[in-house]
Amino acid sequence: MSAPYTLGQAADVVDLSIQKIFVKSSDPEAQFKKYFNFRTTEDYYDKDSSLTGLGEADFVDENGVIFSDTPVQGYDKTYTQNMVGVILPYSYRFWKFGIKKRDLTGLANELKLSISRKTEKLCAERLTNGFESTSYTHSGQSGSKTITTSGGDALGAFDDDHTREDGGTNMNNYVYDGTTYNLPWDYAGLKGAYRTASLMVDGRGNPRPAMLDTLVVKKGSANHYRAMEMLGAIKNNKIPESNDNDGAGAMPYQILALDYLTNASYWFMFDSSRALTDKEGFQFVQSEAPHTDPVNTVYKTKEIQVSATTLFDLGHNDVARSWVGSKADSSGATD
Amino acid sequence: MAGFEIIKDISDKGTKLLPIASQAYVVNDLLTLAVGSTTWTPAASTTGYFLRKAIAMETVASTATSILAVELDGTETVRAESANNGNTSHNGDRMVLTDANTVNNTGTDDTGENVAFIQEGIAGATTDKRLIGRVVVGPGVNPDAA
Repeated sequence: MSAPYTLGQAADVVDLSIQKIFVKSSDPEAQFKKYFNFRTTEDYYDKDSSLTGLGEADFVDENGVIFSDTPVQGYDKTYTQNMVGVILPYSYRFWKFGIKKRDLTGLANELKLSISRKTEKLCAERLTNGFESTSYTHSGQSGSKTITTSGGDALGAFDDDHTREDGGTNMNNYVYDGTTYNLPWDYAGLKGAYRTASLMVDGRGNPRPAMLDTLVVKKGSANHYRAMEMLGAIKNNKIPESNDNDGAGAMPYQILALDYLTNASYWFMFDSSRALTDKEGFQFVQSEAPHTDPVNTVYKTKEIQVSATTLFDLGHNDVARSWVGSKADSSGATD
Repeated sequence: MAGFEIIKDISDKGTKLLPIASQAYVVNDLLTLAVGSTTWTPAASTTGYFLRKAIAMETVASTATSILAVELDGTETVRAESANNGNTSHNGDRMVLTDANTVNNTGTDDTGENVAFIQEGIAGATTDKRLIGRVVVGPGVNPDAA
């Protein structure tokens, strides 16, 4: 709260019958860098664009004019720095008889941890709210905020209508086996994901299949356990969920089980050789690392204020060629 | 945490001891000073918009004669527990209180004088029942008084 933390709100700190006081809180595992490409900037706006390559070369008749081709300009994406911060104010008496005497200086670490929690939550929400949608409402402790999530093509991260730069056939990155979209996470779903990735093309329509190597699921979900079971079978060169004697037709994958993914059904896969580069995939663009600001003392009241802030933006220009996602409900490729 | 919490305040307000009588309070209770009274009492559904208001900073028993509190000036952003699920379509609604620690968010803009809270948003999930807004305060004089 903005009003200072007083002894009256935590009377235990001055109760001498209490020997130990522990700070108990969530210490989030730093996971976002495992599926967001992390990069830094010095600028308020960080904008990227692209050029496609060329199509295929073509035959030249005898003494004929050689076919000419030019790249196509790709989509722009601007990352605008947002500040995230928190302040912890306490009265001088609380600081002296609570924090100093009880050696609760670790309480200040909570500031950075609260930023970590926000970061992990924001990143995971990009996946949960990535299907067709171009914005969502983020619920924070001090209010809600509408966050725009569209990529360079003005569409959500997962869409069957990603616009190709040269105006060719739209691209799809919903998990799709040719008949059904949004397959549940099982062996058929895994093959559907590989099929979807195999159909990925570049901005000129040239085949550019992604090699999906990482699965993203909610930690502790049925998908998470199923993923470990299937991976065990695949590593033993067996077809998961089958008594068939044929060898496994799928490659082993990494499992990234997220603490902050709220939907237990949704699952995603990405090609880490693409998704964790500046060129494509989800981006986390930071201009100021989380840090604790200098302590401020209010002269009139001796209130002590400590705060932590960071500056960053996150989003994507192009994930249509590196990520696939499924809502696991076999629904069509719509919201 | 139940009650009212100041979550954003541009000014660094101090706390002060307010006179009370025969009433227990817990941290984050909203207090008010009724017209003509010298002791502060718990805010309630009858608390008018024109009254002074403060948030308790400590828990005290009914034998206490004073309580440490922050008096509000109306510019603070306050997070408050609500009786019903939060709903952003209620933003801008004037609301009465249920009691000293709860806002009665009925979904209807209250046009009466017993308004004590104006919603500006919600905090967390709707089922958290936490509103963001401002506590309405006044000089302590009923403008309708003769």
